[in-house]
Amino acid sequence: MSESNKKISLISSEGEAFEVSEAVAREFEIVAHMLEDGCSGSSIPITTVDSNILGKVIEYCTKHVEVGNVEGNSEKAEKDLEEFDKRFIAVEMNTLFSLILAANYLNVKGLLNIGCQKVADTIKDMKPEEVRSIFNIENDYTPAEEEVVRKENEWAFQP
Amino acid sequence: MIDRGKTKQASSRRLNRSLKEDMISQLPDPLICHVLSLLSTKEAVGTSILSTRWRSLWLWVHRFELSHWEFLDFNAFVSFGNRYFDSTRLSCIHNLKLTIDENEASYLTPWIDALVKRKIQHLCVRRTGGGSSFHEMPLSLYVCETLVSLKLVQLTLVDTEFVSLPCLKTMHLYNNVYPKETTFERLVSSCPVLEDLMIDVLRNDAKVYRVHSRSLKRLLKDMECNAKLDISFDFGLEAFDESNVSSISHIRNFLPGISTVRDMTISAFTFQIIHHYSKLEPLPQFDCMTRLDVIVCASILQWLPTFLERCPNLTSLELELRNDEEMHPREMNQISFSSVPECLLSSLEFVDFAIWGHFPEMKLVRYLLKSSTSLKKLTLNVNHDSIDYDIFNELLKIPRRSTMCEVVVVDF
Repeated sequence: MSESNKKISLISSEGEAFEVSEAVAREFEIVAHMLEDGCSGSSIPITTVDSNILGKVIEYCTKHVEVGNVEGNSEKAEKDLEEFDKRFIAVEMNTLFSLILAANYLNVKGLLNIGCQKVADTIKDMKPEEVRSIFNIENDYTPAEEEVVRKENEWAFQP
Repeated sequence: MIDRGKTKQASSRRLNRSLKEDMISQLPDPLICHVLSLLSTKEAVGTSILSTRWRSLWLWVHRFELSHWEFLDFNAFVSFGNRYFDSTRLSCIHNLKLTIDENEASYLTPWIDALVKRKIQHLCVRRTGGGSSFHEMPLSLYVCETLVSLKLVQLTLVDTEFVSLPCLKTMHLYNNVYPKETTFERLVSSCPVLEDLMIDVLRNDAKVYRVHSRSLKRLLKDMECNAKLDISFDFGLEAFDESNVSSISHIRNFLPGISTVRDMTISAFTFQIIHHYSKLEPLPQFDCMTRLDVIVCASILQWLPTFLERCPNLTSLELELRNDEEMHPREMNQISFSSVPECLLSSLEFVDFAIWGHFPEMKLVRYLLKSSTSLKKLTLNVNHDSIDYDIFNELLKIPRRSTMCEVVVVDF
């Protein structure tokens, strides 16, 4: 019982402390492993993630822990969670990529999945020029090189 | 479509404003591959044109679907596959769905070899189109240590002495050709953790499909097949336990899958488990079954007519009794058969029964002769050394309900 009430401080790259329950902190697999390895400190520095993003990741994990703790009515809970994920990941591109990088570093699998899915959904059904423009990708092929690649994978560019 | 196009354009302009740099290309390779694995194979390969950074990232995606019909021609398909299934690359391919056509398939062996080397976990290979030449699956597949699920459609599974699929849990085999009858049996019995087996055999296939497995939880067989099934599995049980809810649900899921079999052989232990299960839940109807070969333990012999009630079209029955240590001779003498199942009154024509002399076998013979209306031939395989009565004398005393019934006694 006392374990679940234990609080842990996660420190952002700016040095800001976010106090969360151990259950939420454990959603970060990297933190869970540190705790299992006997790291007993109550404050854990997350040096590569800034306050804005860390706050969001904590919001995501808190919601998922809350829903996971509610018993019964699992179908409705699952639907709610899906809605939450959808709203949560509807962010501008910079934030989306920061969230993906943070989720990857902290090893929060659910968040990593919905982040990558969001990017994949954006690429889907788009022409290469459109994808380049959305993500600001500079086409550094020479026209001759581009032609070679196009030939190599010709089938993938058929309508 | 138009509406969606507009929305995409609008959102693309908005996103463009918010993005000053190319963040996606700065993601580490595994993260880009994660994104690519969520796209169709065609879309993933299509990203190779974006920039030099993207040229060969798609090659590292470990989930792929490749279909011959997506390519302009056969050569384009094969040359693309040759590039992708390069066995010298170290990246794993976990999940592959491959659809091939009826063209010559010498490419298949190097591709499958590469997949095995690259630790394939989920593999589906289907051959489409007509023609009777079913490509042979290479032998490397039979010793794939990482394979978890395998689905093969319209292929030839050649015989091999050695099969080792230690992780395989799911195997679905549709319309494949097995040049040797034992290949299928060996495949199933060499998968120690196989849980889900589905077989659908070609309509003109009259081979026996033997399923001997200790781990199987689900088996489905195609309805219209003409093949035979030989089952011997224990549903993961040492003995039947009514409180073991999961094993009961395994049996519940399992039996409908075999209920469409035409010709079935059931081992003594499997039959005993089916008997215990029938006390808790109703058995399915085995409407298609015309031939049953079963070994029955003496302790459940009395239940045999109840089971036969679920087989209304049975024409041929092969029986052997097995001793039950827990059964006292006095109990054996008390065995009686009360009900007469439908098949005895309509369809049952042939019975083949082994007589050892130490079971209430003659009681069963009497019951069958007295109740069966259509019986044409009752064959008794008698071990004369072990019986201490005159079997011919006994047989003469039994009235026969079927006037055309012939009784044949064979020594063994």
